[in-house]
Amino acid sequence: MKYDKESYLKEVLKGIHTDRKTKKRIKEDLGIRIDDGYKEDPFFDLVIEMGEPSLVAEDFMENLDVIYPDLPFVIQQMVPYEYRSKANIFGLPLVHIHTGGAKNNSVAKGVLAIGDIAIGFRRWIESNVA
Amino acid sequence: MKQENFKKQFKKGLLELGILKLLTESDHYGYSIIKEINTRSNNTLDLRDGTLYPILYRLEDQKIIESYWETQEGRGKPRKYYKITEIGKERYVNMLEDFNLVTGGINSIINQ
Repeated sequence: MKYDKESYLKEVLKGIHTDRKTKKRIKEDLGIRIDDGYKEDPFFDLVIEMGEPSLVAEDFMENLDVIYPDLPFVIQQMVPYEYRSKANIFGLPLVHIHTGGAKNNSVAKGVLAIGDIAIGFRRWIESNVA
Repeated sequence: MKQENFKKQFKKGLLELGILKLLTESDHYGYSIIKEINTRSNNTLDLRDGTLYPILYRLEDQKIIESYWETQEGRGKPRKYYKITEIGKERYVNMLEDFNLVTGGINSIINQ
């Protein structure tokens, strides 16, 4: 797939689950990095030079974990997690777990939905268990 | 631990030392750090953005390095440069001593 700067950044950031401040920092730094790449090489290819956005995001996630090893347990539990089963019923995944988004706003949609905000036939709302 | 994991963990620790070494020589921006590390290591370290920036954030948060913006002539947008602080210079010297001590010890074991 061919990306321009904006679509590349958007794809990378989609895969990075961290606080807004860090995301903003990453967006700013990668933006400058891409500008530098184009400036030094007019044929600069984002994917060849920097990697597929999903892999860049994965790399960030792996290394960002190292930054916050001393966070309290409660905060560590807010680290985002998402699981979507392959099985679908009426277009909805059988199971969708999505928790730990910024301000606890991750949405889970599925027949069985578990998330900060859950939409489904059977739901568990993590931050507000009834 | 798988071979790939070992390499990753090993690299992570050493990259911080390599980055601080560069910054003791001169101030650098992100892309120039990537190029320098990869060139000087003959691409064996294969430093990528997703590895570099989290290290820079951690070093900056710990006041080991500082960043500042500078606009180059003929370039509209400012660029973010990183410089090593006094705390960072001390940290670098200590890390280098530890590195030499540990690698010396490991080399003695391997070469015996």
